[in-house]
Amino acid sequence: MPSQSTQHKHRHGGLRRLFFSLLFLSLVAALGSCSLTKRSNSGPITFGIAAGRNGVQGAKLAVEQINASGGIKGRELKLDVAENGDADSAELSIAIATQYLDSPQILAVIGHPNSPATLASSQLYNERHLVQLVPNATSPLLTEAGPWTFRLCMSDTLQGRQLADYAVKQMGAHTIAILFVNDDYGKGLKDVFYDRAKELGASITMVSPFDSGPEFTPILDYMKQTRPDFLFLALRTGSLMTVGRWLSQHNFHPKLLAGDSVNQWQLQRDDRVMRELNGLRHTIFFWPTSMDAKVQEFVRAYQQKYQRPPDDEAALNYDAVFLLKRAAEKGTATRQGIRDYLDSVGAANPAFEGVAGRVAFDRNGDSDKALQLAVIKDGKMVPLDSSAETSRQ
Amino acid sequence: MRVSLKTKAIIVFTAFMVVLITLSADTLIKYETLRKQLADDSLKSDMVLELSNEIRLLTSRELIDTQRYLLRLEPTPPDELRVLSREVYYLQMRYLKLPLNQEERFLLERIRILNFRTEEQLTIAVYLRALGREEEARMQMLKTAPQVEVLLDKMNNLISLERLRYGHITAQSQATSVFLSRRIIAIVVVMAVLGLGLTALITNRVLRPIHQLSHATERIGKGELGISVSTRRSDEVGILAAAFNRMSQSLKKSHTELDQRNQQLKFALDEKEDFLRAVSHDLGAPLRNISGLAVSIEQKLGSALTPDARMRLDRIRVNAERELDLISDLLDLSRIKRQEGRIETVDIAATIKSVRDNLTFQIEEKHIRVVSPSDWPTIVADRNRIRRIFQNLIENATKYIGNTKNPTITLGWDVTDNGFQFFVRDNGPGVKPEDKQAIFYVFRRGGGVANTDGKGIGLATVKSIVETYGGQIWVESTQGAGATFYFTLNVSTGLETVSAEGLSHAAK
Repeated sequence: MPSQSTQHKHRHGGLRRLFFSLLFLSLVAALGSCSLTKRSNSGPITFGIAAGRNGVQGAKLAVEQINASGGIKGRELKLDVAENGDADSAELSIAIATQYLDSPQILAVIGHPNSPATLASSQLYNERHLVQLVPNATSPLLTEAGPWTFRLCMSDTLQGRQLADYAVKQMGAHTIAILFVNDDYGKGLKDVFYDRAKELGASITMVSPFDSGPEFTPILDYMKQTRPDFLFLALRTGSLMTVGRWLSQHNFHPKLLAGDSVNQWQLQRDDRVMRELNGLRHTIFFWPTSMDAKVQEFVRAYQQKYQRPPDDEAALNYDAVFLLKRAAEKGTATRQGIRDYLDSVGAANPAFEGVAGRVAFDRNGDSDKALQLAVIKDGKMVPLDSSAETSRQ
Repeated sequence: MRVSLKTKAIIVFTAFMVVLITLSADTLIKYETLRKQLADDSLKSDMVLELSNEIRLLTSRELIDTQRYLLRLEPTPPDELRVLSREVYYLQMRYLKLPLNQEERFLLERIRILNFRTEEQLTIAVYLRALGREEEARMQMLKTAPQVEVLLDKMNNLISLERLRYGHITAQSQATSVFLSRRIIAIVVVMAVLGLGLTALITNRVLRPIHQLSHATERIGKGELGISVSTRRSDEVGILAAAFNRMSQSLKKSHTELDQRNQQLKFALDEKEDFLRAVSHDLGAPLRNISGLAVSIEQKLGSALTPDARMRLDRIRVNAERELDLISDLLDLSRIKRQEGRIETVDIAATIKSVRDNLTFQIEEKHIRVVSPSDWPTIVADRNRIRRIFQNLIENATKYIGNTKNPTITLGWDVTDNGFQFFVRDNGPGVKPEDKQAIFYVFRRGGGVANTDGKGIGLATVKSIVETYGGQIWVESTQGAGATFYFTLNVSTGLETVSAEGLSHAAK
């Protein structure tokens, strides 16, 4: 009997220990389940940027100006520039995105500079919740990338449709051949254009991928055989120049219309190219000779700093930094806070007036912008006031 | 501080429930998470595999159709190829939106780019053919062929990669499921162990002491006095154990005292019996001498004796013989309790008949009517002793019935729990209340019966015999309205003569 008594005490103690260890374990589990969300509220604010050289330059200029006027609520603004940020490689863009996502001090990312890189990385940004502010990737598929992706330039859904409208209604296109760069940009833009042009009654003589390179010449040969009166070129600058050269050589002169992926400066460097592509119209997101004071100030500062005029990419990245600065300032300086602010730009919060136009996000994070076109005329590139000519949907 | 059994039980039960609920809740949450994850995984896996298969199918079709067109096997127009290419592209984009891991994303990107390039190369071949440049078209096609192979190969890679990955996920889910199953089994085991522990605890803490108490009580019941149980506990059981021990001790004490008294009494009784036997024996011898001498004087002197002397001698002899009778009866009485009776079948009816025959003279002399039931039981007992009971009681009745009008003696019997009850009733003067006990003791006869013949030893003998059979004897009487002597015998029936309806057999 005495042994029973101690046995009982022992067992009772065991039960009590078990009970308390369970209690302890559940407390630990509860603590463990809430992640450490505390972040510093002082120190620099950092944005990531994946862009080409011009884009990075535009962004750096914006950061300089912001820090010169007191930063963001007194906090210094910093840029974390990705190496090879301008590659159109999906693999590289995924690696860059992963790096940004793993660095908690990065509050938002500007990029990436083209549709393939942007599309591939957007999956990650949306899965792991970091704002991706896209300056100049136009793929229609980005529209549905998710709530963490915002786009400053116009989507190809909008651009392609407006370009088709412009081609058929303003330029009188009847028989259209379409050449596109066989990637996310070209495929996206030509599909929208194709559908809309057909809808408007134009006949499409051919649709073909195209790139610069001698092996692609048969495509142009065939294109000529189909006798289009209009050529839509969803191409990048290099292949655009190839087409221009071939057209000039073959003395074949359909009307030419291209998308936004045209590097004005590259074309303008070569007088022959400008002659060969005479009459080419293409989309521009930014026009440096605009009379807008804000644009002129930006062009002056950019010219002064980099000894050259800014292009679309520079302007859009410049705008991206200022928009993010406003989001960090007016909203909370967290990843979520910046997303929530951007989401309401043009709705609950005022639209953003940048050097590359007005930004107001729709519910997909796309910026609803009007089509702007430039034309190569007599060896020069001049803006077209398209808004008067184009019917906007 | 005393902690009551109830409090302990509540503490143990609460702890048990807390453990149980915690474990169960945790397992349920895990199970639910797993179930969701499994559903999610299987959905994803289905989508990924479906989509990758679809892409592979479409891409193959795109490439193969183009090749067939180029080989002039089929007049597939380039526009159809465009549509196919577009379908492939949007499928790929849908695919990209799935939750892929980095390896899969990279592989998919490579496939996409490879697909783009292959499309371009094939398109060139298509247009070469359309331009009629057959040889160039053929060359271009040949150039494309390995690229197509690589592309299809890569797509198979991707599909097997996914099969592997989702197979892995499934394996993980299964492992988790197995873990949970084990957890559930563990909970059941823990519950069982806890339950057993609790039972053991209850047994140890509550039932065992109570069992010990009941065991001890049983032992006391069997005569093992003075045993005690542990009182180390401070709860109700402890109190009970202490009370039990006190009871046990005092029981032992009083039992010991009682035993001593009993021993003394037994000793005294034995002494008495010895004395009685000695007295009877020692008194018997001279009396027999006296009686014998009286007879021999009468025979030797015969006619020489005067009538008066003869009468006196006769009285000496008669008195001596009476005294011898008395002594013989006393000896019998003392033997009744000392000697075991014989065990034989006794037919009460025969016994009564024999007794009535013996007493015929007395019965007829006083014109007594004897009423007796027609059936009597048969019992297992000593025949002579049973006969003695009835003999003494009926003789007593004839003696004490006096001058009553219509003197009647009624006999009867009944069955009791342990045997039988008999009675002998007379309608004589009855017994005085103060004599109801005394008449059963030796030499104490009822008052007011001075004229009645008797030695005062009959009822004592009856009482002794009845008691050897575990029975009792008593008298019920209303003065002037007769007396009924009841006695019980705890004996079994030898032959079953008791009829079902004959539970009460008092003769009317």
